[in-house]
Amino acid sequence: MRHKWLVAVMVLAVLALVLPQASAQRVVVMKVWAIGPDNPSVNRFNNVVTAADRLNAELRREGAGVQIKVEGSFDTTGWDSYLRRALLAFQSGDAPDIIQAAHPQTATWAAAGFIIALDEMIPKYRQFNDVVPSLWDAVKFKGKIWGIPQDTEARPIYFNKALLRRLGWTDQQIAELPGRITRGDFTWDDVMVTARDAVQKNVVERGKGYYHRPTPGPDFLQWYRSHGGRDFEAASGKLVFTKEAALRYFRWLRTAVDQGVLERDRLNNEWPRFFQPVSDGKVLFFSGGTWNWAELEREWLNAKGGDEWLFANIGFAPHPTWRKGGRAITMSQPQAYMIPVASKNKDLAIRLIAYTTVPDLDAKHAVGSAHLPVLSSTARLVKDRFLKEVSYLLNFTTFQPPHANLAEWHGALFRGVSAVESGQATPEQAVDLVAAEMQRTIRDQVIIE
Amino acid sequence: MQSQAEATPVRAGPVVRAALLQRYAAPAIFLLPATVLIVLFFLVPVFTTLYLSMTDISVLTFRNPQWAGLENYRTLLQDPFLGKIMLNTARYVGFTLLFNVGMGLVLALLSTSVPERYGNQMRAVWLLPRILPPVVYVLIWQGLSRDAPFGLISSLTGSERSFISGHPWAAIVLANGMVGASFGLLIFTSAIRSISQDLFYAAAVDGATTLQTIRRIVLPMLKWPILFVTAYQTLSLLTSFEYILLLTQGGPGFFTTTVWSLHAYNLALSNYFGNVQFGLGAAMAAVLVVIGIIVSVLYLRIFNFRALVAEPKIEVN
Amino acid sequence: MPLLPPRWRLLLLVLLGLSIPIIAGFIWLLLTGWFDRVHGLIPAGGFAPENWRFLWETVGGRPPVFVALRNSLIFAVVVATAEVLIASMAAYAISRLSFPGRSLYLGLVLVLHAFPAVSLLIAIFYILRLLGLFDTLIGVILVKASLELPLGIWLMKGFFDSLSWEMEMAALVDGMSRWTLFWKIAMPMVRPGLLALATFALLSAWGEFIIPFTFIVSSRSQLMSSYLQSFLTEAFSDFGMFAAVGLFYAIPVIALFLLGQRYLLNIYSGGVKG
Repeated sequence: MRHKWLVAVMVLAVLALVLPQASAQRVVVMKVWAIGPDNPSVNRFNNVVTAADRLNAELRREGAGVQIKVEGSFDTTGWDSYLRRALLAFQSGDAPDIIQAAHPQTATWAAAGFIIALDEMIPKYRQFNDVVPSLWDAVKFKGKIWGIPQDTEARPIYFNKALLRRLGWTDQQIAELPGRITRGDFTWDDVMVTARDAVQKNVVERGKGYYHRPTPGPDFLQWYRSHGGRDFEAASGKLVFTKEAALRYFRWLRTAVDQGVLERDRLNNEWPRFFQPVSDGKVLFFSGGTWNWAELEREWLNAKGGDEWLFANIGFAPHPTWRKGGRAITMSQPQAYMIPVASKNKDLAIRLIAYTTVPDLDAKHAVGSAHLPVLSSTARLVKDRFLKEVSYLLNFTTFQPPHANLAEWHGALFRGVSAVESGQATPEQAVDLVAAEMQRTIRDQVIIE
Repeated sequence: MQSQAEATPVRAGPVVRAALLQRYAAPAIFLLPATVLIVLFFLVPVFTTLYLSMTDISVLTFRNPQWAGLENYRTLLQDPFLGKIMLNTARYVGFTLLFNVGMGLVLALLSTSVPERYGNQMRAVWLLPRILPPVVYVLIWQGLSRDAPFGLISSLTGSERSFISGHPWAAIVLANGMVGASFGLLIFTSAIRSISQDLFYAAAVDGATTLQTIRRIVLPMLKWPILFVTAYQTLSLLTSFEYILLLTQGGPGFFTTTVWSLHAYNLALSNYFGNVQFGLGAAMAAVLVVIGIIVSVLYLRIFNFRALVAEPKIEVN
Repeated sequence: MPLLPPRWRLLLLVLLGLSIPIIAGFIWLLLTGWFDRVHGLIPAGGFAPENWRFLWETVGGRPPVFVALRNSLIFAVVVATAEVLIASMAAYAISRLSFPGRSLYLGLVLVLHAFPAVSLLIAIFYILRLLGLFDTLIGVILVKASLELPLGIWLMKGFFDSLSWEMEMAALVDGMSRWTLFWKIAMPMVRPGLLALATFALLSAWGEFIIPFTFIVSSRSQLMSSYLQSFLTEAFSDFGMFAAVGLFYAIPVIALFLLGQRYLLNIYSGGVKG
């Protein structure tokens, strides 16, 4: 008699152990790599985690027997170490399942065979129908789609309203400035004159008339374009370099340095030396990105009242052009999620990305980091004043061309800019240097005109 | 009768084979791990560097590098900025060497001219930059060099700007120099200590001043050590870039402090836009490798290889 | 010099003067790590234990500092152990055994000792990739141990050379094998050398930056050197915390220095001798 209930207990115990096993889920680890490098962009990673939770709930409902666990990192160090890590990871087969990078990487990595084309997978998920149509152009290369747009932005020229007032501008003139830039009424020459004026009248210190980024980046393409330069010929699919435009651009830079408007060592790799004077209200004009607004607000202007100070003191507009009547310009560099060839969970990966590409997560990232949303329906959710005010810049925006050798093009142009600003070469010499460098590294894929 | 010498030659029987095995087994076992590692991480890389330098390997061609012959070297020679990089390298090596040897000498002379316990203490202090992790050392440099009011150097010199971006060369030479000086310091101190005491007493009896003693007795004895330190550190400076990478990344601005080895590293392994040019970087590294081999062999010739290779005391195997 | 110059106190002052930058550097590190703001060498803000928050929080997207700490400890200890064992074995063979190619081998080791290993990083990356050891602790341990071998072999050879051969002779005659002789007799006799090499290797591996920086990409295998370096490249600089991390990282070195100054001086003098 006694033994019977012992047996019963044992059977129950065995059942208790076995039954949960029967309904146990297979856990798939999804490796996700994301990068800012600006801190506020952390949602590029966190949104995927949130999406995974939602997807897991859905998977449970479907009884799929699979659960996703997201692992990975959000990189705040810099693009060059991130890209190096990615390159090495692709090689070693230890690649992530989802990797986020700027859209030009789709061209390079697609050409190198590191990522997969997504055309066949996209129609399966209705979330992707909501993506702003023009953004797909940024991730297309050789006719196929290689990434899912994650966010976009714009790169304005910012100006300090308080300093303009000290220079003698009226509030009306200040309010009209963005309009004048957009119409082509306030050109780069006018920027130069105003900044020089400010330096001479001691409204700003020498070198603080105009600031731009201290590190390499795609922005230089935008400024070269604003001086009339071409960079891509769609018909032949080749890159282009317009010497005349580059000369204009380099001459502007040279003059700016000579007249004390621009620092000789502006390209000093030190972000604090960009942000600190800006947040101290000491810089008249500075080129940047919409996300700088969030960085400034959150990290540098905490003590001064965050975005109240910004709205009171800083204005923004698309970049001016070089000739009167020309069209203002800005650039957007959408970020994209891509799927490496080496990933073993491609179907789950695209599904996870679909769950990340939803309006509320889109809005969360946009508002959190002052990037711009990628989905048409997100606009309803975004109440952020800055994003609302800055979104008109998208009407003037351009993308970088889809070419596998774009990196060499950027590298050569950057060398020219560094040489001119630091005084190592005259503008004419720098143009020749850039052309020679492009010829050497891109060979027949570039047209020098 | 046939002498044994004319008998048929003895074939290597099992006994002889065992003896041979015994003769070579011991060295083989002892040397195996070291040999494997040295082959894998010294010898193979030397040839790999030369091989890679002759391919067009880059991000795009990583999977299928093509043979490019001497193309990379030709590209290097045509690079307009190569001259600047070579100049930077010469500057870096020259000035740092001057500091290393000069300061090492001065410190050695000073620290042997004071009571031993003080001398030891000061020498120990100069050992610190060498044993401290490079990243911490650079952190200290960056901290001292900050813009006013935070940086000590700015407060002392009255300048507003960061010492490192204002005077990158001074920063690099000093930072590397303070690490390198300890090398010379210790060698020279050893050499000074090994000078026979009689010479000093004799000089004192003759009424020589300290300066004269140094000039007539100490310095001549330091000729070889100075030559050795100079030669050794020239090679090591030619190829070192770690501190430069950490301090200035080769900037600020346009290749300001980029030296040959750093440029090679950047070309091959790190680039903002993602266009790593592996083959080109390997070509630059190959130049260093070849120089390194030639110079290292030269050192051996000059600095007494023979004495070090004396046959072992125990011959029995 | 056996006779002190008459104005040696003046010379001591000069010596101190020259050494001030190093001392100032340490004071800066100490103060900045513990205070909120430091102007020059004077604390301008309050006492700031929050500089040490990286010990209980994760900062930015980084892994907890203890991951990096654990990795650095493993790295340093394994490299030092491998170094000491492998180098001693090879040094013993070169010093005590006669074999064909011996002088060639020694010549190779000496050439490699002077050779700048750093220039091989690019090729080593390629090789590690081929071996599947890229981005692993084992990979960087092997690389570091290998690159330090020439120094280790050369150092230990010096020690083995100075052993009297009578004891070994006697043991061999008694029928002891080389291997047993090595472990039971030779190694114990060169203990000071082993200790010296172990100290070099530990210090060198603890501070190693460029090798893990180049060959390790994932954060779970990150070392303290790359952990600290990731702070140096941040746009928004919180030097208080950076200094605290630096202090934390340098504690073993500073401790070793304070407790074993004499010892360090001795072995570094011996180690660098031409």
